Amino acid sequence: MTFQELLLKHKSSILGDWVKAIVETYPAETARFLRQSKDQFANPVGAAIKTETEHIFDQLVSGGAERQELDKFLDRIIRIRAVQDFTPALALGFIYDLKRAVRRRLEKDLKQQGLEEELLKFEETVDNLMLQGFAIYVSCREQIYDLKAMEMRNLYAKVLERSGIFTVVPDQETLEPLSETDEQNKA
Amino acid sequence: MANPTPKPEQIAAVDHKPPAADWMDTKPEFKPGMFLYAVRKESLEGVGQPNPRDWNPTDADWKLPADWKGIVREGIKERLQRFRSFQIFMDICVRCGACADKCHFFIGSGDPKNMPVLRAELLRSIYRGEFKVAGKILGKLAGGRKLTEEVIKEWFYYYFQCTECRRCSVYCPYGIDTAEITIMAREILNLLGCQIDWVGTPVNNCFHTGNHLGLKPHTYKENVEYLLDDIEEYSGVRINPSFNRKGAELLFITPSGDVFADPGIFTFMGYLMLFDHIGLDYTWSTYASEGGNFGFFTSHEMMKRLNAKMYAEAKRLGVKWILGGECGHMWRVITQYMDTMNGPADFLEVPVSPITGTRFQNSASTKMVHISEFTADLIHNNKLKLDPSRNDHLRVTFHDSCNPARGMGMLEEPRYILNNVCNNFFEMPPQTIRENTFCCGGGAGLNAGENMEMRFRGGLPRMNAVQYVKDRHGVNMLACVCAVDRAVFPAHLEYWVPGVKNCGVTELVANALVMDGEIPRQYNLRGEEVNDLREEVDLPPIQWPEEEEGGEPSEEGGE
Repeated sequence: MTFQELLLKHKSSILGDWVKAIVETYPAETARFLRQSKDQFANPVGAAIKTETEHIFDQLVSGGAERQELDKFLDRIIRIRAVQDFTPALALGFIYDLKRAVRRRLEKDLKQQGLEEELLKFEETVDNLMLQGFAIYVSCREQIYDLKAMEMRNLYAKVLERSGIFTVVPDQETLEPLSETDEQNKA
Repeated sequence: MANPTPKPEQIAAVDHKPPAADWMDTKPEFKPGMFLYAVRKESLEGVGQPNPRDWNPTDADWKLPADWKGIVREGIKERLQRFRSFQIFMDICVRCGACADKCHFFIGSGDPKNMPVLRAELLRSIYRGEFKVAGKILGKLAGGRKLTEEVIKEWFYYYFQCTECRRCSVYCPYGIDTAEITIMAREILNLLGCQIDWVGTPVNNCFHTGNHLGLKPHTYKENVEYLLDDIEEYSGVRINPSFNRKGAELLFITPSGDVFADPGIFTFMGYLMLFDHIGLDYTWSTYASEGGNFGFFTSHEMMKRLNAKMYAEAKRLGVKWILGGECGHMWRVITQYMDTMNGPADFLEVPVSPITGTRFQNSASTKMVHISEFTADLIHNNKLKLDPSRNDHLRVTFHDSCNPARGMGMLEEPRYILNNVCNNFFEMPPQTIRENTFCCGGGAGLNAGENMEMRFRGGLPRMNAVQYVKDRHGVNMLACVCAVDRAVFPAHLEYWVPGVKNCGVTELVANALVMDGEIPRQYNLRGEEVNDLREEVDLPPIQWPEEEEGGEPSEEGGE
């Protein structure tokens, strides 16, 4: 049996472990809710974790993982965790939990069949996944800062502009040099 | 010196699980982005609120007044006596958990103290510990705890993470309105001067100038005039509304946010065009220049003080009744409190539409009609010249704002209007609309700038449903009837569902209105070229008459 076949054989238990690990990064009462509630609208966080971990797993197992596709799936989980009460490390730590799940479920088989090398390769892929996740996390946080600025601008810029307090500065090239009188007034 | 680098087995032993601790032993951490700023001293002084001071939620010492415990105990006691509902809500909860997973803040944050039952328990545990014999003696065993400064900090953190949207109360088998518990907790916090700035400062502004933004009469009027210039530019129609005109038939009151904040201004322009289109005899007031009422998020007394201007201004101007704009909590205050609080408004008449003759029996007591009720009636009686195809580039869904939906029961009128002013309307899933609607995450004073991450958590369930209709039906516009929604959604949508914009219902009405004397409507109220917007959704361009007259070769097959 190849490494890929092993992954597929144990897909549901690996995913089960992975989802459990992610859900348990939340307080116990919340973890219970995230696991139990099946409605994707009543429980969008639980639904995203369940759906996207499977998408990610399928992509990795397929062999020809598409970076853009992986970005999309990772984004749906990380975008949520980027605004929740997690440190950056805890927000992204769930990606490494996939390694643990795979190791736990496949360790025995891999040893028996001498496929440890394959495991190392797979773990390298997960390491790369973490780097992808890191980029997504940072872009989410940057977006929040941008949006804070945008909101301020939308709220006040127009009224300040209209009342003459705030001016949109034209491009430097189109600015007229100050005349002598202006210079004198300024002095 | 020992090597600080952890060994591999130590790294492998790192547990991602949060430590298991009882909720009473878990304290909130005030992190940037997750809490609201304290009210400035001057704002409390301006309206004579207790204990004004300079303080900061991240400080260890909140400078509470010397007798703060006595103030809180007395505050709870007084409210238990005054409000029968509060006493009942403190006593009857059996902690069945039906409300637990219904809060948008719990769903989005995953913080158990945002479960409505647990949020209420923050106050209930003090009620038990300080007022009930069992709780006083047995403490934690009987669900009671002692009043400490840590409790006040926890209240401030969590009662300002509740938008008082009342979704949880829809599911409570006992009918407990958890929003009312938040209202009481905030009143008590307010006795200590522990208010947030985004409520306290608008309250002070509103009391002195008539609106939350503190716009003085001339500024208010000037802002409206800028909008009139824009209407003229895009539609060719010059409108001349009146301000503070005595003898007008109606007074129109709407939230002040819409007079200058994007995208609310486009809804405001919509009102101006709609009223001009039907030749309504109405006036604006630069004193009753705010429909919203942040006093509602402060105390019952403050709500009453701020709301009094509506009837006072209607009386001064001698109007027959009041028409109100698109706002959320404004309508909860009007529908549930105003009549007994500021009424009876016996100097006003039962509202009758001067255009259709329809008598608004539902407003017989308050004498105030919602713009969507008014507009739906106009459409129903064929009083509006509408061309819904002008909104064909939009694929619209509707967000039921919590207060109009759950506070006044207005569910059908906005939908009726939308179905008449645009051709592509799609509902979000049933468990997320009408009385089950998910809050925007910014109500009850939470739409400040400093707490954006917290707001994003609260907005997640609503945005998740928007994402669904975007994926399924290509929805690109989220319509609503609330000024706070309009201000909250742009950032939410950008973060959660890029590609979808938001607007007020009346903005879409005005874009579809065929105005007398209009020029070809090449631009919408936002100043965007309609053909550019059509191109984005693969619709053929409209051939404007001017281009044809100018001898431009018109392409075959165009509209």
